[in-house]
Amino acid sequence: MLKKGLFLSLLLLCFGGMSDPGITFNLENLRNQKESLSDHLGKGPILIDFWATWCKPCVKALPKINALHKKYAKQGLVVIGINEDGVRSKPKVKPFVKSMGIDFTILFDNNSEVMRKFGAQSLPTTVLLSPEGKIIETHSGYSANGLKKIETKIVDMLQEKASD
Amino acid sequence: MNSKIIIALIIAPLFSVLPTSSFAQLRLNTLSNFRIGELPNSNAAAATTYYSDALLEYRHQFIDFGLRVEGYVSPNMKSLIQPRDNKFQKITQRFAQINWAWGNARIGNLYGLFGRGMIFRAFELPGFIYESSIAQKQHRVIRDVDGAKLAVNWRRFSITTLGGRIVNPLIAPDDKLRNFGNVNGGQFEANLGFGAAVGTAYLQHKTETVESKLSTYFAKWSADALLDRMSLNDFTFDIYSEYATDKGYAKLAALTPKDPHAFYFSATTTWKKTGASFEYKDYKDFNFEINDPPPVIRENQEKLLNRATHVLDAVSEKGAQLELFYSPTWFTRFTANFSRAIDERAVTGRPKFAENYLAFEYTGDKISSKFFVDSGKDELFSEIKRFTTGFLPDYSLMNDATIGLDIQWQYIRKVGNRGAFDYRIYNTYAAFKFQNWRALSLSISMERSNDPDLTDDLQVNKKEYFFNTSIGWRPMPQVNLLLFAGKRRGGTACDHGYCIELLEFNGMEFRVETQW
Repeated sequence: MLKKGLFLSLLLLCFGGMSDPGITFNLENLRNQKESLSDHLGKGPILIDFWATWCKPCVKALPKINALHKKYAKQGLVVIGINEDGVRSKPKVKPFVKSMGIDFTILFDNNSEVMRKFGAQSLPTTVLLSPEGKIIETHSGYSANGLKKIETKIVDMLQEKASD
Repeated sequence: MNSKIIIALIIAPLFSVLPTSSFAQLRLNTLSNFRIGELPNSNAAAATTYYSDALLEYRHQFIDFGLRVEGYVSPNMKSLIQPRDNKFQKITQRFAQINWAWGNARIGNLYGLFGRGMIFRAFELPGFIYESSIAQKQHRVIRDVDGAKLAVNWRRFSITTLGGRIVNPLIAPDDKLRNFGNVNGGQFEANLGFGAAVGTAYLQHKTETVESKLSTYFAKWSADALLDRMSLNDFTFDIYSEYATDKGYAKLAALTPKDPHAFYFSATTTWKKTGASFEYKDYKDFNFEINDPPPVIRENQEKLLNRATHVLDAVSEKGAQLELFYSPTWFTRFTANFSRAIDERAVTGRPKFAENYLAFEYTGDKISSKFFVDSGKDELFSEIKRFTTGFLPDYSLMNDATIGLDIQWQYIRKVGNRGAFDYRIYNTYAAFKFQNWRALSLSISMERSNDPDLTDDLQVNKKEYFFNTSIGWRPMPQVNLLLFAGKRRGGTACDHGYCIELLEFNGMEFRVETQW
């Protein structure tokens, strides 16, 4: 009973006019430093790629996503790769990333909690966020055409940003 | 309950300092699984079943809350332990979470991880539906805690504290045995700068019969910043080490006078296109069913290898693993993995595990392929020799479609203690796959085995065949339909380091997944 009361009290408090930092996360990068989504907000569109080393389509997509990062980073695109290998395969990820020449930020989602938060059900999943952190589009699976559509959307968002 | 009130009192003042913006999201994920057929190695002759899972999550301003309902019914299937009414419908998760820029608080069902899972890991295995051969009820594989959690990240420090009731993920939601006692604990981590961090965690786990008082200490260092300063930008180097002990009941029950302990160490280095990682483990009396120490065994995704994954015995296992990685171009990769382990608990000697894995992958725009060879042994499971090889090519057609083959072959020699048996087992797997990511997928597969566990033929002459086909269709981005027909082999399946036993099935299955 007390538990239910506490639960409801918290809910009511939350509807009391407070507001929100968007979907948040605070994950470790390849250098053991914590990075949160809020560190990247306001710069430009944010492309989040959920991937794993064992996932064949993810590996196929990584060089293409890296190319997007190289092409549009200067204009404000932020690319974040969220690795889903899990804590048990963590030591294998950095050699993979470095040898593949991946330049964008890689973060470890050790317990897949961020993946769940974004509602991603399968790998790879790419999520395009507005500069404020709002989800614009979610794509599951890899396809060259799908990635082209994401690129078109990114270009639109960058042009919009430039014209503001 | 007291811990939850304390957490609520702590977070209440934080409402006044939360940042402002405004958007709300409502999300609904559903899964429905209809099945008509039989479970050949179970006590049920026929199985017409329906399983459904719905997860509703709502995000408004700075709060998430969610509700998960799972249901299962099998009108004509009676299990041994529940012969009359083999069904359930239950709210299996409900939670509210408050997020702010430097942390979150959650009440209800929650997940968590301390260190690298040495003393605690609560998680969900996405996509898996589990069914035990005894209870014969389908449900999600979720090991969560029903309680409260507070996580705070402040400058260089992060603190997590949690408490509540933990469940056994392999027991159906309506079964009282699912309750696996209470956990209370926390983790503190401090970033020392220069890529170094230290941390400690404590967890008390109490059931009616067992009390564990687990503590762990970990340290990690990434030398990248230092190497950059020395103009050695092509190099990276990282180490991680963790040591955990139990001062509770397990210590009293331990066979050795030493404290139950677990030690894990990893070192990773990369140089240009080459990388290497080394891991070492030494676990003694450290299997608590609420933790997941790193197994230091490669979890391969190839079908035959995944089924043969060595399952860690944290009660007594020592070992090491070395993985080498070389990617001369972005489209070619070589992976070599060498794993060794020894079990010191077994009554009959000290069974050894060994695995050598070598793979080459090519990922081009049109053609991709993977070739692997794997050899090893797992004496704990009487496997004195195992060899597996496979070739997985695929070709991209027009309009985002791909066709692919998956051909694998495996030889296992199993010899019983004092020559009780000597089996030479051959497994063959072949599949043709067509996939158009946007709309349609088709898979036709065949598996053949003379494993006496399947054929009941101790002379290993008889062969068992598994033919099946599956068709996937995504009529709209939010809906995924999957139809399976044929015979599916059971056995061990591992994902994210957690292995479960899947049951064999013969029949038709129709799965509908939606995401709104």
